[in-house]
Amino acid sequence: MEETAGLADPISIRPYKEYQARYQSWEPVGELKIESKADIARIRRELDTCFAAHLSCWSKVRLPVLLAVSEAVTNVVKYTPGGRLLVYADTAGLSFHVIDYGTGLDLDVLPSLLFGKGFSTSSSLGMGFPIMDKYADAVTAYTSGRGTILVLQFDIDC
Amino acid sequence: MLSVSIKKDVPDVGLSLSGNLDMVTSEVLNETFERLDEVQMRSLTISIGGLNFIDSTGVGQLLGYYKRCTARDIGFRIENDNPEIEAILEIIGIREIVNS
Repeated sequence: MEETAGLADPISIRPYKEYQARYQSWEPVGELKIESKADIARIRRELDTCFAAHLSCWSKVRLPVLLAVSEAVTNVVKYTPGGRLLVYADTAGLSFHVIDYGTGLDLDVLPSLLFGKGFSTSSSLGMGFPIMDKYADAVTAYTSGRGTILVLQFDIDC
Repeated sequence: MLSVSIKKDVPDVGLSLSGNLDMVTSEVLNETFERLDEVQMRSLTISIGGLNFIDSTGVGQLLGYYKRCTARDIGFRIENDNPEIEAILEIIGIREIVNS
C-alpha cells in the first residue's frame, strides 16, 4: 500500500478517474453500505469490533480512526443519496474509502471547507473536515459530477 | 445510544450526558432541551465527561444551544473532564467560543 507517496500534505484533491487506476488491484477486507443515519453508528460498531479483535494497539488509535471515518460517513448520509465504505488493511496501516453517489464536491467552496476551522465556515458541510484533517495521516478526495471518493489513510504500526 | 439526565432543575439547570452524541442520537438531547423552561432558566450547564463519542454534529448541536441561551441572556457552560472528548472540542473550535 503506497497511497500517501507523493501526495500533498495532508488533504489532496485528485481527478476521479485517477482513483480506479490507483486502486484497481486492491482487495478490500470489508465493504459496508451507507444508506441511512442508522448506518453511521452501525459502521462504527462493526469497525470497532473487528479491529479490537485484530489490532493489538487498537485501543490507542480507535477514537481518532472511528471519529474521522464517522465524519466522512455522516457527510454521505447528510448530503448524498448514499454510498459505501471500503476497508483496506495491510502492514502500512488502515485505509478507508468512503464512496458516495452524490454530485461531487463544489470546488468553489472546497478551500474554505478543507482549511477553515470548524465553525468559521457558514456551511455545516465543512465541520467534519478539520477532524479528518487532524486525525488521518492523509486525506485524498477523488471527485467529479458522478460522486466523491474520500480516502482516509491511517499509518498504524502494531 | 445517548442518555440524558437532569441533575439540577431551574433556575440553574444541569444536564449530564453519557453514551454517544452524534447525528444518530442528537434528537434525544434535543427533546430534553426543548422541554426546559427557558423563561425560568438562569443558566444551563451540560456535562459531557460521560460521553464515549461526540462528532461534529454533536458539537454543532451544543453550539446551537449556546447561541440560543446567549440570545436569551441565559448563562451557558460545557463541563468536561474527558481529555479525548476535549480534544475534539478544541479541534472544531468550540472552546474559542464556549467557556473561553
